[in-house]
Amino acid sequence: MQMAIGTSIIHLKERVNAISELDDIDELVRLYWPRVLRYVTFSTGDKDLAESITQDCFLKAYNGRASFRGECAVSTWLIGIANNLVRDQLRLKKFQFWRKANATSLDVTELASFLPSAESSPEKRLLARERTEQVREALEGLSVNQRKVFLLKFFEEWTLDEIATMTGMPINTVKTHLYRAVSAIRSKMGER
Amino acid sequence: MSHTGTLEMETAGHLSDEQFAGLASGLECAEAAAHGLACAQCREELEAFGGAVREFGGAARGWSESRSPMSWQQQMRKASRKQTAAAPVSTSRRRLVAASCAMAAAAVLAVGAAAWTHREAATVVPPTALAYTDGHELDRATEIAQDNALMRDVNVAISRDDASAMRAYGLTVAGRQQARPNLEMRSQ
Repeated sequence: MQMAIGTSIIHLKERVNAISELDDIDELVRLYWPRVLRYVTFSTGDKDLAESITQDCFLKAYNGRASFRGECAVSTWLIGIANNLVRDQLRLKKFQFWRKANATSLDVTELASFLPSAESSPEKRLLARERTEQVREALEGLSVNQRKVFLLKFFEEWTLDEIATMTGMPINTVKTHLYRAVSAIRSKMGER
Repeated sequence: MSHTGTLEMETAGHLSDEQFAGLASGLECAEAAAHGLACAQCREELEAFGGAVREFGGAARGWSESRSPMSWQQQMRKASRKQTAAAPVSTSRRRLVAASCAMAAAAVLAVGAAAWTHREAATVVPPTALAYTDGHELDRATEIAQDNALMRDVNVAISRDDASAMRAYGLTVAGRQQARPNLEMRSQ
């Protein structure tokens, strides 16, 4: 009985912390901006659009913080909002056109400059850069849902349950998208 | 899955796509994991895949952390500019719209009430008009009374028996009476 009360008090404290975390917008941005931006950038394949969506995401979260009940982590809630924004954006027909014509995709050179410095020799750095390019290309070839699930699983290290919550997909669907994404990327990497 | 996986491994000798994906994602299956450890080719492929994804993830993390966000004040300014250009959805803006609607409704009611009052007033005889009408009626009654008084005086005057004059002209009383106009009184 005492254990149950103790657990519920801890849970309540976590919820209160999560809710109060939303009130400090600067701290919220500082903590979660990179994660949301990264996720949105690779989901849309357009870094300028991703900045705009990320900003909208934080605005929405801050304006709607009263509706956050603390039932999930703040990051889960933020990614859920970002997901909705990305989905809305991808539905726009004009976006489909401009995406092809004018997308400011993340350049592999820009990305490669953030590769771990342990790859000291020029040869190793070149190989690492090539692998990065392969993954980037493979990601672009995935369907929107496959890409989302893959990013959330491999880059953000969320569990399948959490991904299902964020994306609103059944867990088996999440698993299917994940397996297909891995197979596609594996296949793409094996081409070279 | 594990049974099928075992059969596939037995047939092909290596991990199937599903097993590979499961192992790479950390969703372990005992048989596949055992094979992954034992088979050098599968292990190498798993390591290559994991390494490439980790490298990419690390680079993506580094890139996103380098994109330091603007201060929130700057972001709000940018957002407000954007909201001015696009459709507004903020609460304060909604309140403003609601207040404008309420004011417009109040103005319509006020104008309507004024128009109604004016219309009502137009159908009712104003007190001044009533006073004017009463005065006018009064004047008319006085005028009629004056006229009647005048007629009576005339009748009295002409009804006097002026015998000398009648006699002088040889007129009879009956003829004289016929010749006299009978001035009637005006009635109201």
